[in-house]
Amino acid sequence: MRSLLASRRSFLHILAALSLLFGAFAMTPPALAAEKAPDFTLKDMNGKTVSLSDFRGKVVLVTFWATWCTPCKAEMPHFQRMYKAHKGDGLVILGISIDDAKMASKIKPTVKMKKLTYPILLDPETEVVSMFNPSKNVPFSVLINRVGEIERTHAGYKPGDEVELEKEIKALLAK
Amino acid sequence: MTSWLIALGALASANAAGTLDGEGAFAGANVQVDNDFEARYYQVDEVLEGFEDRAIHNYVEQVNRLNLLVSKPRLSFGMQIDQVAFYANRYILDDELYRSYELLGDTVTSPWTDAFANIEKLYFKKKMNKVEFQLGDSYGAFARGMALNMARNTDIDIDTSLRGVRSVARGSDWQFTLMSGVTNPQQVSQDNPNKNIEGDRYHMVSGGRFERSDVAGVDLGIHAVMMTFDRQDGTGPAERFGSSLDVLTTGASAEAFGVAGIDLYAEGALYDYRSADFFDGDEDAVEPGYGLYFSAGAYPGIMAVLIEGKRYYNTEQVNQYAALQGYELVAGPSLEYERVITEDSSAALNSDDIWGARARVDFSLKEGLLTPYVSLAAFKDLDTGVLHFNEVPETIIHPVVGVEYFGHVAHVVLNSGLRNDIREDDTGQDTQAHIDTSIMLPAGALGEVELAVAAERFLWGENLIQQHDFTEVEAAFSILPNESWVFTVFQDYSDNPLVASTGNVSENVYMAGEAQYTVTSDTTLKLFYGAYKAGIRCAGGQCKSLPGFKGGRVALAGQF
Repeated sequence: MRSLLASRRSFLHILAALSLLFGAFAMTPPALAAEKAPDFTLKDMNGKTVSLSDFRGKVVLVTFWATWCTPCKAEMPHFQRMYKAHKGDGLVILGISIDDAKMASKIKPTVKMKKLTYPILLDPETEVVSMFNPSKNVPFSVLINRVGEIERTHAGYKPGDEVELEKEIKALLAK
Repeated sequence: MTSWLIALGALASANAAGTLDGEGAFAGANVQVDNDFEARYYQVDEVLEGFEDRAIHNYVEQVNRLNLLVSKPRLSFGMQIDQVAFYANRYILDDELYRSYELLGDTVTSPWTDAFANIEKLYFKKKMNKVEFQLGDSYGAFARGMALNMARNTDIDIDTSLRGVRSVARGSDWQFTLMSGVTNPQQVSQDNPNKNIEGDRYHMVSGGRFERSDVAGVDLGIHAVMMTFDRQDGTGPAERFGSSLDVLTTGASAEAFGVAGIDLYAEGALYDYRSADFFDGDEDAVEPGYGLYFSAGAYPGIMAVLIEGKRYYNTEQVNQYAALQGYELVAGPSLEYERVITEDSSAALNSDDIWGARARVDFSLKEGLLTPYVSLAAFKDLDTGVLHFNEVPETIIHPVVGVEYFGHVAHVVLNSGLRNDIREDDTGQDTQAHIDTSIMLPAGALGEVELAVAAERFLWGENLIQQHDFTEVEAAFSILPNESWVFTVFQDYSDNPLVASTGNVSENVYMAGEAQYTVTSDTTLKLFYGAYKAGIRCAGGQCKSLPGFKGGRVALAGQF
């Protein structure tokens, strides 16, 4: 008669791992000190060099996107509307495409068709996105205040996200 | 093992967001921690002979990816730690201990049999006024990627960096990039099953690119890349590399904006193979390769017109050693609609002897909210053989039409096409009809609903390995009741005999459900149960056969 015994003890281990990890995530993070946004330099769609430090004194929304990303395209009309509404008050939006180098020819048609007028920069080596968001998932946005400090980061997009974002932009512009 | 888990938990709990105190180069730096945890319970079809009533091979895989980023405006340090472990992977049969699956292969070492941890990425970066310097892992793509294209491909879970040095110097109208190191592919997959993990193969890559902008209105670039590949058929480092230089790729690019209203781009690359190993050891077969690519974009009125062309010859040989580990070092524009690549058309995408062109016209309506488009791609694939499923060249014609609507509360994306791979003899053609759509609408008390469907029907002509015609469907229906929750039901169907998975509803039907909870704006919890099908998936010019899944999954990803 053959005997068979499955290892059950391992389930206890994964439960321990889960509880530790969930506990860790549930911890209240310490109060955030002001974080200075790392500077970066990229080329725009027309080959011009642009640095974040070019926009000192402005409120800057850095938004990472890609031509293949549907939620990225869904939030673009909101960004364009905000840019038009608040550009005069000192808002800059930098749309950074993380499309792979070989996809570069697709970026400009996408931008033209969406009638985006805010600057679009190219990060084909995902160098800059990894400075803000190491997991490199898009869409991902970073809101930077007039003195270059990160006020907010946001991953993903769902309808309604833009409402809260615009409130924060208005508050920063008023400062 | 328990101590290992505690260490993991402690590591994850060290999510000290904020700034570093004290003195030194990193004093006052921001500290950011991203953590992505996933546990997967695999329900396996395989049974143990004599114990068919017990699912003894079912097991749990737990993966964790922790990213640490310490940064100041001009100084940064990054590290990625990957960890994977198997649980419930052992059984005792007749007093003897067995493992259903091995986590580790022969070429990787770990203190644990069923666990592995690795500092996967590590870098230090310094930015000065005109120079950037990076030590450790970096990525690099020259021009459109025909000579070098090392970037993370999140779509298909490929992440190969170059571990070494990278520096960029730039002036007002020039830029010089230099990089040198060894390839560092990710060993632990975050999204797909890990089995028999192997050690890294260190291919040596060194290259440089010089760019000069606005030379009589044209941006110019030249580059060269040297590659030497690790065959791992020797014993010491010297024996592991076949020659001092295996491949030298050189190239140049030119780009001009708004020439008579047209943006123009052209790039060429030469591949100088120095070893017969790329040609099955046949010295007489060694032949250089070349690649050409051009694009022209114009934006008259409400239209965007993009025309692209390519000619690749012997351009894929350079990837053959990297491809053994599932990635590519060189990948130029494919001009393919990559969402519908199959086992057959992936050979054309990676063809070593192909001409191709694509024209696409987009229309911008309703202030850019509505954008229909038409596209036509045509290829002459002269490469043949088993992977191509045909012995004679093919002419490929692929029209695609689509529309995108992104309103303030709803969106619709629809793409549809018909691909014909027509052989130059009397063995007929392969035909593929495909459609994919994503629709999101407001739904009153339900919040928003989203439907995503992709379907294709593939008809084989006669070929070397005669296959069955097949239909594949992937569908997902989501309800988004509020900003915190997303509930999704998935259903897949496939009767493609090349798909290496079986469904949980029937042999060809797969169903699953997922609940996603957004804990904070940066932290997401996902619970998944059910099955999805295997299949080939292509993105960014690279293809990967992704396995199916049957079981449950819990994932927690967050940024601190």
